[in-house]
Amino acid sequence: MRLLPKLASWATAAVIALAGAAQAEWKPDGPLTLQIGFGAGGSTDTIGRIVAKVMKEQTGWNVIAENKPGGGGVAMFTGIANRPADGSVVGLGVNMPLLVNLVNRPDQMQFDLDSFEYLGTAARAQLALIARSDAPFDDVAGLVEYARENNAPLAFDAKPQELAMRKVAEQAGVEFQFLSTKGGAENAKLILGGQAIAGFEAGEHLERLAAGDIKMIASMNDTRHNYAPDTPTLPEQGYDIYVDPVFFFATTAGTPADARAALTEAIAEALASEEVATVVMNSLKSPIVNLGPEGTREMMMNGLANVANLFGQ
Amino acid sequence: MREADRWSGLVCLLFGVALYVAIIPWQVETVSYGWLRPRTLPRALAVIIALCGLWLMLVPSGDARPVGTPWLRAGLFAGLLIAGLWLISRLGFVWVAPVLALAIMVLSGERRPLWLVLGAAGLPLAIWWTVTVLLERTLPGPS
Amino acid sequence: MPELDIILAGLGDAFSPVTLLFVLAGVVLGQFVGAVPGIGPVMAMAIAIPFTFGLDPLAGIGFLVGVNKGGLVGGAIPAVLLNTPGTPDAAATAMDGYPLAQQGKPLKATKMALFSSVTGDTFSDIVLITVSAPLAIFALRMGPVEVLGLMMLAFAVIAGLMGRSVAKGLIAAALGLLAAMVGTDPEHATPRFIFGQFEVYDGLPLPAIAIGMLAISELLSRLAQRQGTVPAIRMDKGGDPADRRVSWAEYWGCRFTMLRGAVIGTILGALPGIGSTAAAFMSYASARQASDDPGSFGKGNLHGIAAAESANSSVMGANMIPLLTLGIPGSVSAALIISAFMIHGVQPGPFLFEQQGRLIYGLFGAMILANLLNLIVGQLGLRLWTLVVSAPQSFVFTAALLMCFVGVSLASGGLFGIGLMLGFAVLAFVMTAFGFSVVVFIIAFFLGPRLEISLSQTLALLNGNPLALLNYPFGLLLMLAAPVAAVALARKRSVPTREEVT
Repeated sequence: MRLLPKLASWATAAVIALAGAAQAEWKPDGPLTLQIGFGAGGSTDTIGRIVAKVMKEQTGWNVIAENKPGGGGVAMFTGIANRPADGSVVGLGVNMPLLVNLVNRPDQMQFDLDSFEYLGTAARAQLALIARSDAPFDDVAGLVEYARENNAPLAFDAKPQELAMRKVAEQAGVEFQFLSTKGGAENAKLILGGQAIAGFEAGEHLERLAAGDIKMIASMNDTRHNYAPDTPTLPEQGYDIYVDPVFFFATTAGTPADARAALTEAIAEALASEEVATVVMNSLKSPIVNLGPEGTREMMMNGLANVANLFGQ
Repeated sequence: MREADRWSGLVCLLFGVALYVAIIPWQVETVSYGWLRPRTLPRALAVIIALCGLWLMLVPSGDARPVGTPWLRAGLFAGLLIAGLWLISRLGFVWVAPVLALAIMVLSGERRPLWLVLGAAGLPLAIWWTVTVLLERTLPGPS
Repeated sequence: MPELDIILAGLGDAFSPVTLLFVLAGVVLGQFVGAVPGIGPVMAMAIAIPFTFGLDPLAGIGFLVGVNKGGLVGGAIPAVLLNTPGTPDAAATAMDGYPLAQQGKPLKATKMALFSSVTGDTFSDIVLITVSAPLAIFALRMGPVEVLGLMMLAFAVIAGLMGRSVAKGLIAAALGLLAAMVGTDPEHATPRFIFGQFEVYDGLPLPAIAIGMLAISELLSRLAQRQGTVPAIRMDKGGDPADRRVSWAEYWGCRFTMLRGAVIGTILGALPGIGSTAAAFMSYASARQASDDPGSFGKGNLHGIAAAESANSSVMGANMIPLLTLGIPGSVSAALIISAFMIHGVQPGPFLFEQQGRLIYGLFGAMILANLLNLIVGQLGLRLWTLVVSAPQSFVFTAALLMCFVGVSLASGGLFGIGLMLGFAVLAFVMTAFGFSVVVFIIAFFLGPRLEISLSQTLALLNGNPLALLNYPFGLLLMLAAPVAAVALARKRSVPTREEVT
């Protein structure tokens, strides 16, 4: 990790802490574009559009939300990394797709983690390993025992989920069958329909959890979930691996400190509003978590090491 | 047009072979485990394309009509659209759309001033208003 | 079953002036935006969602339902009038709709599309309201093996659309599947054929490809024919008034076709992830198979329009079955409705009917209301659209081209999507000139990802033991039915396909 950007972002934090008026000193020269690394209609789109709307009201800037889908944000961040650092474009993306590609095909990527100034995070997707409530196990240890005796198909919709469970299988000396799907909804269908014994969902399962149709086996993040404080994480259950998808904001590296401070402040203020909190809670089932510029950078760096570990590199 | 069929069969045959021996190894990664490997289906498709290309060369069906197709004018319009796209990437939709609309209309034989004005000014204006004002989205342009 | 007073209160909410106004606004917007080549019902909904942030739940969801249903009707309009479908399911409508419009009967063709769309939609809404619970359980039983069987059956239907040369049909299908392979592979998530372009990492954007190949290539070939100053659609003003409307006898004559289409659409719609393209073409193929006069299909047969529209519209209603009962969206538009529910703090799922009974019956009321409004707005709107397309071709085609540019840029991420659209338009133009079916390419492209992923899932479930397939008798039956259907449909293959007609 280089020292200079770190110092710079500490300085940024200090500026914000000492003088809340930082925002008044810089404003975008023209419209501020908030790019969203996914297509219209998904949860990232929802978060981006509500943040843009509230930010526009709070700052008076002309904030425009724009979808830039492709590779889970890789296409968008490629553009952001290679544009003038004038603070006129901010990207909202999810860490996992970036980290997975940075680990697996660094030669094809036109950026690395130092290509950005990190401005904050919006929330984390709380990823759960779930099973139907009549499954003959309640935790990962039980699932492993089940897999010793039976075929144990697991439904997953992103590579890191599969790899985490491959680590579990390897460590426990069992075998799972992996059913690749197109999303949490399809995972849920396969679990409820009995074609998969367990699988992954991020938030959409809460109602069924309450109804008692399914149970939660583990939190796949490195923290427990706000709605299920009694369900331990995968690391807590003895497997030192996690999957932690976080929604974060970043702009081009080299953006002037005053612009960065103003953007950080504007995003933080929008995230602190009740309107944003409600929409994020409703669509993600997760509370707002803003790690701030330095915390976001650290999250990305640690995440890179964790993903490298997942992919066995 | 059996001759045309033989040529298109040859193109498919060559494409299938190129796909199998060059493009797939270059653009599709290998993995060491799993049931359905990334290369399995693309390779099967390359074989189908090559074999059917060969089949078409040997037994041409005769329903190709390359001679009756107005290649030149279609190419003209396609080139115009591609040039329009390139200009949009430099200048933005708002500036390019009127010129592009006017060019298409004139090339398709329209000479009546009223329609030309409607197409070159009215259309872009209506689209601009619908997208940026009504729907609050951005029009294509330089990013 | 909730109390009667809750049902009545919910239906009352739906017919309150505010909700009525928003459903109406949704239907108008949906029909208008959906008719723009390049946008279509799904994109119209995605755009409309941010507008619902500030609304009441029922008003917001009613608005979206209106947009969706309006978009379904609107989507058929450019397909019928200009032969420029924005989606493959509308391509099925164009196969008979456009020939009929060319015969000077554009109003008759679009009205038949409207009536059969609303009929199919209403059918699946009634199924949803009355028997969604048992259907949802049936949908859950349909696992990866059964879905693979269904996909194979859907591919068999392509056999009936291949045109004269089997070799060319197979090449078109293989090329379509190859295009579907672009992006990450389903099992290992490694990128395939992306050539360093991360914009296509998640696959080629469906709207850009569909619009490029179906709409732009058609516009190119029409523009190339130098008839710029004549009207895009000719309407015989003095002609027989029967050519401008659909008589009751004509509508009633299509009842079995529409019923068959609605049943196919409802069943496929209740199964998450299959989509309306398969339904539209399966319905079209089976209508032709059942017809006494299969040769008249593709030449302006009302049954062809009725089959395609009743099936693709009933898919959308049936997508709500797994959504409301299980919280599982069956399609992109259902996923958009779910996100709208969730933005308003309503979580679809098993508790929905108990906890939100009033909202759900309000939603049902709004759906029925939207169907009625669709019919009324559609009657007026169709006149407007046929008037619009009686402008000179130079103007209409220019408008369509500009709208395709903007629509694709909105739907698939900017200039890159437009570039892909133009590239695939040129490909489709060349394919057509050399006698390769573009429709076959597009269907294979749309169905490809689901085929590959269910194949991967099935192989994982069988875990290396082919005999385990015997544990899935229904799936096995579907797989065996596929080759039988392919042969049966291929026998009627001599019927002209869309490209040969135009």
